[in-house]
Amino acid sequence: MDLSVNIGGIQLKNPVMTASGTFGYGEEYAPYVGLDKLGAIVVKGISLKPRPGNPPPRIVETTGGMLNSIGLENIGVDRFIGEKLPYLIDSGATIIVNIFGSSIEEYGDVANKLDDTHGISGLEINISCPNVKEGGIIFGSDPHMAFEVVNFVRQSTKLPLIIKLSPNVTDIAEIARSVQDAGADALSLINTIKGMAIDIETKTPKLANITGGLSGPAIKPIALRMVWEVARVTKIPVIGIGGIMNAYDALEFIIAGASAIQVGTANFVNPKATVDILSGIEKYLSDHRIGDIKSLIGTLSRE
Amino acid sequence: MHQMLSKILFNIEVSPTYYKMGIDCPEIASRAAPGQFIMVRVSNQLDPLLRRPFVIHRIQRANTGSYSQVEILYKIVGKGTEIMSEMKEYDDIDLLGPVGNGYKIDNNIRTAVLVGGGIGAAPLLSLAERIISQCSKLKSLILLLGGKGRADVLCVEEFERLGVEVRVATEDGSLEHRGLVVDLLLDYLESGDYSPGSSTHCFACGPDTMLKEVSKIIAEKGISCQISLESRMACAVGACLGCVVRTKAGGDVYKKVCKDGPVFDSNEIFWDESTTIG
Repeated sequence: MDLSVNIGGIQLKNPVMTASGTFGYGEEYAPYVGLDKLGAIVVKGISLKPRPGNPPPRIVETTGGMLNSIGLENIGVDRFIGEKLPYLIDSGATIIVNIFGSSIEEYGDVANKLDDTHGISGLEINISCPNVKEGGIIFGSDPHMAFEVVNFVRQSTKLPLIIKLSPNVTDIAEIARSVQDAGADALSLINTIKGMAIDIETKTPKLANITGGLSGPAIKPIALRMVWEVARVTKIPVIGIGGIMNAYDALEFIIAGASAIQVGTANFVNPKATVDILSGIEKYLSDHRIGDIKSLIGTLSRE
Repeated sequence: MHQMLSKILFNIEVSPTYYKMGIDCPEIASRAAPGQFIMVRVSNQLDPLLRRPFVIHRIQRANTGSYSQVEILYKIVGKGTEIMSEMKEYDDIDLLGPVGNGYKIDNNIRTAVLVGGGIGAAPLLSLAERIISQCSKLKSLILLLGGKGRADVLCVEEFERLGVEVRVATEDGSLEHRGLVVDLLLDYLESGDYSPGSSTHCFACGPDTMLKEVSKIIAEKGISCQISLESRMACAVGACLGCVVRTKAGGDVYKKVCKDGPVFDSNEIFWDESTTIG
């Protein structure tokens, strides 16, 4: 059975990846998951300088999901390369580094530093975090800004570029086409959906940041629809993300047009979620006598 | 840390809305320390979605003599704990643990002051047991316990059975002193029934308003104090960064309750108006 897929030049042994921000720097989940068994590990978003993140409370559970406003807390690119990357390389994992910046130049600087670093298979560019003003979403909600940032990063690195898109836009397909034109090698979607929750006794927001990003099974139908919309109008591979809890969810995304999928919130509930999803996909392929997962991608039929 | 399906040994209401659950889980019990916690997946459904953190109340030996059972103490506060309260003996329960860093117990402790508010009594029982077995120079072990009313004052008999001196405060005056547990701490420190210096240690668990006050009072006396924090939490492995607390190490340095805690030195935590702990 062939589970391998190619994501814009990154060869993955299978389509199951981890979603940035839900798997730390990989080592946190190593007791539960063989990191080299997954398609790729996408690490927590990295910026040029360390960031402390937002004040707590940062998370709250909602019906079938959770809101977070972590605020992109991270140790910065230099400490990532020095302290976290060696472990990941030793684990044998395929490593994709998620990056973001507060300016177009900063995106370029982080990409450039990682370009010279051994052991990294690709970059995922976050232009879609809903929780910080200066980084992320401002670049991801306007097709021209999105083009500019991707175009600049494209010139800063030779690594394959995956652009992570925001669902908090009117027309996600338009943004997708724009970053494709700017030189993106692949797309990943969706990031979290902006939401909020209120404590009715104190009449205060449940998150210190007031709003946060919704993830988990609650967002899956929206994510699936967006993946389908984007996959049919773009030529580059699409990675499906959004509320994938099990293999059935993952297979829906693949049929909708995703070449690979990322598992996020499910890791919190079941630390072995990624490997469980992988074995569920294998079973489906075997049960349906499908020898190559690539032949399942985008097979949505209207009959 | 382990993830496993374990058997529930008992699940009983110990006071209105408060439950005690015993679980057969040698993998966790044999490694657990007072102050550590476990993550419980309360259902296989997608709602409630996330695991719930519960501090370990007691680490028990089975007949074989090895540590094989843990007990948790919990209060029904929402959907997750409501579901848990309906679980029965022999049901399976999905656990992750033991999580976090427990209390550091100095072998030379002569006086230990435990301060608990409401469900905050939970970790103090296993802590008291460990102090008694580990600290050969122990002279005095006192527990100051507070709650809104009589029903919120938990486990008094269990502590007394260990020989712990228990003093109680209730906000409505339904049991012993009318007022806050912090009043009891002030009285105790004023009475001077302790030897100042490094042989006296304070350990506290309770609501953040209580911990903030206890930290302040203790700091003025120069006594070492460890506090156990609660937080909303998703992963419990240090990956999601959802459970952080602000520390004094610079303006915006956060620590993770799950991995750096849940027990912290009280001097480490930066308390201010915006310090909200789940």
